[in-house]
Amino acid sequence: MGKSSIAVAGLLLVQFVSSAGAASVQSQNDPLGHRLKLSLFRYAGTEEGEPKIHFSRFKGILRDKLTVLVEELSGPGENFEYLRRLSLDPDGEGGLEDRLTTEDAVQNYWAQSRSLILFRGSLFSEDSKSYFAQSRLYLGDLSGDLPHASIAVRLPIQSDEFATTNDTHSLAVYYVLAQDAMRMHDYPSRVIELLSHAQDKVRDLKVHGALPPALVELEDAIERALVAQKQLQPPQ
Amino acid sequence: MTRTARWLLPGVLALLVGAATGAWGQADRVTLYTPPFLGPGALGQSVATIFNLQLWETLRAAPSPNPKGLSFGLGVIVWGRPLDRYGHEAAEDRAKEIALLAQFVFWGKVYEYGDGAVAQTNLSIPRYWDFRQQHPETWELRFHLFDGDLRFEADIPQRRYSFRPIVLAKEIVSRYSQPNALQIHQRQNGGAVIGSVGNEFTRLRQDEDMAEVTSGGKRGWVHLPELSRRSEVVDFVGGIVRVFRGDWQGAEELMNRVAGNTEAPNELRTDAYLYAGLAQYKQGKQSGDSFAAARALSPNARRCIVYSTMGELAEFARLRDSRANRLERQIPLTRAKRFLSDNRPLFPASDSWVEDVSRGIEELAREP
Repeated sequence: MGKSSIAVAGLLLVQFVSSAGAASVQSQNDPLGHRLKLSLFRYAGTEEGEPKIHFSRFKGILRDKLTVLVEELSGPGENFEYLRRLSLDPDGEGGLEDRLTTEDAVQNYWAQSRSLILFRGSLFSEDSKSYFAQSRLYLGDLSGDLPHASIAVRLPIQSDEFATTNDTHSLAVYYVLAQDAMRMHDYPSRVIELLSHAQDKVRDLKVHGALPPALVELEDAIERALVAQKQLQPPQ
Repeated sequence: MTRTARWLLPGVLALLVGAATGAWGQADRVTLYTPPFLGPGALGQSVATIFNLQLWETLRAAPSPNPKGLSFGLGVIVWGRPLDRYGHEAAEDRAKEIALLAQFVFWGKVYEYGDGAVAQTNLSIPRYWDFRQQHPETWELRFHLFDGDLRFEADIPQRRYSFRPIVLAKEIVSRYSQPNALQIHQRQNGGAVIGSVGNEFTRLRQDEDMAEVTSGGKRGWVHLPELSRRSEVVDFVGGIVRVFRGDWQGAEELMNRVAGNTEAPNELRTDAYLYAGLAQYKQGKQSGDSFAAARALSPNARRCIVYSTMGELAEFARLRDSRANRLERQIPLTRAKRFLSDNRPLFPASDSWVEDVSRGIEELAREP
């Protein structure tokens, strides 16, 4: 941040240019820094045929969504320059092979892969025409005040449910980014900004009906985190 | 000497210090660029063309009626080649091309999803030196004090938006996935098909859902279907274009539509209230209710606090100009101070805007 002086047409303007993009805060607990990998496992039931196409499209949409989300948070000189390294794993088509059969295995994978979040789940159909995605979003130690490390949501694969699917995944990503920022002792203003985006998504989802229980818990966790962050003194 | 407290969207160092000349927008051109959307087959191009023509409908050179003889300058929508890649940065790079110099890029992608298709639309508003003489979108308040000027500035609320996805009706998908699907009819009420809207076209006028265009040497009428149920996207983009052109009455009208649409995304409604408040202030109206509504929707958004503070400073300016007594003038200053102190955690510790505005308020409060 700084003050710069410029002379314009004989008039001295002392510029106080707002610089929200303050120097990045270095890790205080984790020398490896922020977690920046979103791991997408191939959903069960998507090995072939139509479900495979649905999964492939879902991945493409998720990738585009992340691109835009990161660009909206990390514009030139923005607060979130580090998010430019956020990535969806694996590259290319398909998902990671899901061989995680126990909660311990899931937690170990999350910890050792340094993932921010794991996208796991299954795709199924009750009438072989319309499909549903049962997503389990695993947040590991970044679940904050949530009673569980996973958020389970059931989302129809229908065009008129696209916005809800988008918002649900965006909500989880904003929340877990905020939790990771808290873990890294980032400035409260950064955490609050991420939580505020998460709050937007909660409100958008509510427009379309009552929240499922997992998202009600998430909403409560966001509120509590906001209250706590507002009471913190920013690091000097 | 002028002291300036300027709130810019982060990462911004463009200087807006050009001397004011002429009426708003009189010499400036405001350009919205709409590339074909990415997506399967011809659908992306057709959907983008329909949006393009719907956005045209929101442009206006002057209000109607126009008792004050206002002019909003030249507003154009330019159609061009697809973006090199999906993202705001690619859109902003395109906007800055010297042959274009656009203020906005409206871009998107059509996805096949489930049983149909959806259009994801986005708006990028890059900040760069675009050779405009006027910047109506920058909210500036200037106070003449005995030892110089005190100036407060606020940038627009946000510069990158992704809108709520639009579900495309099945009829739209099947009809507009084919090349040449946007047919040009001889007459406004139909008649023979004389061609189709190609890669280049010019919109001549609009009458409800029919647009008169020229394309490929043909002149005729194109039907603009409702892509889906009413979306806030066109109103919001049209509203921002009006802000950049200083069309405050028109901006307020469109932004109020978005703000009042309870199905619109929270973030968008918030910014619509902020823009509506700015437009109200520019027309000499009270804007406090709009800013309060924005804060109610997004109580933890920094931009709401910036605009609310500017709103109180604007109210102070109005009272100062009308020679209200000192006690009365202190009320908006006290409210502005409270906005900043109550919401200090929303701003980075090093945020100079908060510090500078706080100091500025103290200076104003000391006035006899």
